[in-house]
Amino acid sequence: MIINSALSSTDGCSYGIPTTGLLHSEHSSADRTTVFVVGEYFASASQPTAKSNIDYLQSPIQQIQSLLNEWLASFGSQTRLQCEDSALVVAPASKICPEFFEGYEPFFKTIFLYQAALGAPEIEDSTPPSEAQMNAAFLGLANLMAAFVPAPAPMLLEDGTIGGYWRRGRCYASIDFEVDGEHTWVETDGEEFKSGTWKLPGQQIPLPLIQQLLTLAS
Amino acid sequence: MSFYDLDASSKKARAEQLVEKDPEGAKQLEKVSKHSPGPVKDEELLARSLEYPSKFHAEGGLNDALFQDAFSHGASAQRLTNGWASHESDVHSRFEARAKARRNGSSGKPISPDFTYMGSLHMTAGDLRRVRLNADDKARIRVYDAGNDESDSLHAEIIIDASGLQRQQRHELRVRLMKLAEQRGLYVSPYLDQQGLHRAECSQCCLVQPSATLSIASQEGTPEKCESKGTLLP
Repeated sequence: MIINSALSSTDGCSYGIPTTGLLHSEHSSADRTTVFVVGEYFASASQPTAKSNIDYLQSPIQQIQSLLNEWLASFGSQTRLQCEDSALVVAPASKICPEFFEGYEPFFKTIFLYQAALGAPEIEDSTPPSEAQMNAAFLGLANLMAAFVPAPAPMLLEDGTIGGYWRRGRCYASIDFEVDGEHTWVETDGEEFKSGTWKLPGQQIPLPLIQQLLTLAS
Repeated sequence: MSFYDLDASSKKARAEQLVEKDPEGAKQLEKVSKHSPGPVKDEELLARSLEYPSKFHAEGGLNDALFQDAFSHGASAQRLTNGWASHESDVHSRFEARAKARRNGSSGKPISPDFTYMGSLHMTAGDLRRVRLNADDKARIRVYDAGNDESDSLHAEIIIDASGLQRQQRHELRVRLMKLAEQRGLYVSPYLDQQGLHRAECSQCCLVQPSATLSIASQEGTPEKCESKGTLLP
């Protein structure tokens, strides 16, 4: 599995937990001094696994967790990142909050159950997700985890495509995880609608989308 | 030959075939049978069934899979030609009967024991027809009279003309339709048990209670009156 997320100086700063509010597409002067602290990131191999009904022999969540940890560890403990208009300070990394991964478990559980149920010959008239559709979703989810986006709720489309969505009040965002990696996304505050594609591997989460996701999570 | 008579051997989706037969949407102005009240007018209110688990995930609330069948088979709705108050009982019982058939396997589809009619979402035909994408002025949403059968004379079908659309635009249309559908709230089914009511609350829609005469209707094994914590709309 490839987790193609990279801290980059382009497209704003998608990773890390902002300590002074949300990201903005038009950075104000206040944003220029925003410090992003990356901490409490690591779930070590010795840490107890989260309680769930997921069969970790089949679920990729453990693999994603390990890969994310390795990836984050590669930045060391004194990494300073410079973007076009802000400086990022990566604080000494320790452990990722286990609850963060646990938040994704219901999603994995749902799509595994969905695939298993639809794989049976007499249930529903929708198309079960294929291996390619499952893998597309896993890669997308891994990248959402890498960006510390709270877990979406699963959305199962009739052609087998797996999607994820977030909603809060009038705000809503959703992603369809497409097999060719051109994941479509839509977000709205109830008034304006924005949409686009998020190409994986290769692209960071689009800025309007990550902004909306952070809004929904706040 | 009816508008709805299609080439059974075609590999194209039903909605796509219908759009090809009616590229300009002119068939929306036609009465489909002697049983129906005529073409669906813009001001007509429509009720769309919300079902669990096919169109809705309880933990996350309503999602934009709600209208995905408008791209493929066609999305069914009931016409409320005389307003909700006049049709409430019939619409709830009709949607519940359909869900019950799914639960016991008598619908011709496989048994789905958890299949639940949660309630109906309302929108006018004109609201649907006026939906537009950013940078695309084409009317993509059609609302057709589909009252072919005497027993279902107020049936309407919502079909999306997705010709030439990119995937992200199709996705955006789904979201726009979902946002439109939730505006008037979820008219809660009077047949829900406590678990069903909890799921209705999880939809994150404003909940509109069934009228008093319906709220004590045929709740199998659940004598309690419906009590929703959702927001009530007038």
